[in-house]
Amino acid sequence: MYKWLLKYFPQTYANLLVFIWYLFLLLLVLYSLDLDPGRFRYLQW
Amino acid sequence: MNLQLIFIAVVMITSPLVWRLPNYWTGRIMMLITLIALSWLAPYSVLIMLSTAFFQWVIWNNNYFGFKKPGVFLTILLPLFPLIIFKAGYKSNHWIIPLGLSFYAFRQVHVAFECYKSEMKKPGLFEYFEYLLFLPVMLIGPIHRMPEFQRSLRRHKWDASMFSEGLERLLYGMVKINFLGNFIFSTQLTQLASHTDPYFLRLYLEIIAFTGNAYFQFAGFSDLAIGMGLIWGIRVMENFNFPFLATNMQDFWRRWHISLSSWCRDYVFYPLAALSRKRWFALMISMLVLALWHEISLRYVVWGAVQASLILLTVGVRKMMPEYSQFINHHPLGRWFGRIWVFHAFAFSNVFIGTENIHSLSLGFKQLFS
Repeated sequence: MYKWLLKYFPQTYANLLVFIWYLFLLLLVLYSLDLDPGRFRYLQW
Repeated sequence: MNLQLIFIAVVMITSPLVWRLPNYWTGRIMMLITLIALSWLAPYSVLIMLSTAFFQWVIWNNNYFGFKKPGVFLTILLPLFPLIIFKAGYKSNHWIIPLGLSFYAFRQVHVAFECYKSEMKKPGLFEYFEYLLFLPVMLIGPIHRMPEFQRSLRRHKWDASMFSEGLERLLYGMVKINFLGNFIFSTQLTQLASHTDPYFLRLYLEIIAFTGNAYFQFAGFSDLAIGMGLIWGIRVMENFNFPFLATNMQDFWRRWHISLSSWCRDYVFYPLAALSRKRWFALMISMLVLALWHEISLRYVVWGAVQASLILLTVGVRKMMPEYSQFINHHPLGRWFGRIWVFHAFAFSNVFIGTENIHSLSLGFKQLFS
């Protein structure tokens, strides 16, 4: 994604955008983590 | 998830050690860390793996068996015994399957088969244990191949971009498992489905929720495994390549769970096709093996048969109606028709394996067919 951003933005803005994107993803994870994890039923090992 | 988090913590903590030690020690130290972590978390699993691997190695390095080939052939069957016993026991007595058994058994078969074909030289005991005891892929990891693993190990050198790519993959994996899988498809969409009124629409939403959840959970766990591998400096093969962008079922199975489907292609489909000269027969058997690998039960047999028929249908259409196939696979609009067809064909075939998990779905089908 970083390489793709660098095509359209200067490096400083690309860095900032990537940082915001990762922060956003991290917040999504934290938001959804309070649900019951381990609901992984596709495989039983 | 919790077990995978422990693995991630172990990999993170030990990564400076793995990167800093001389190249000769990289494989050994990873093996040692994995051995310690697994002996603590799943001692029986380690015992089964090491004993079957040890016996394989003994057979490879022993002339007692007289004929070279039959002895090596035995090493192909050896890792399958615990797999079949535990999978059958799980179905009938609800035994707990040892951690990662399905994956390392197939890895062992892969190495034995390559040795049988003389495509690879027989590995030394430590080399073999280094390959098998690789923590990132122990839990749900791809069934990675030994030659690639060893190449990656030989080229092991500090690479900051690899490390950061690993961290990125971990984040994407977490998003896929927790947000897209658990939150969107498992919780929100299922809730939405339970409030939906027309019955068929509700059923449809539940089917989509099951398949979407399975995909994101599984792809997420594969991302975590690949990310952990990158943090240790080893590139593991990809397991998913945007499967729902495939335009036909044949292409779909080249993109979904690549490590397993390529395993079945190499070690079931090719040998059987060569022996029987019937591609459809080889395809049926390899899809059956692929299905039974998940669980030894009737519903997976049906699921495997459905997958095989869908692939045969694709091949049939390509032969009978080449211009239609051309439209589906190459025309921009046709490609989207193909994608919609692939998603729905796969989602509806998953009804067979989803019925025991999604209670309402099984009830729904009983009501539909009674």
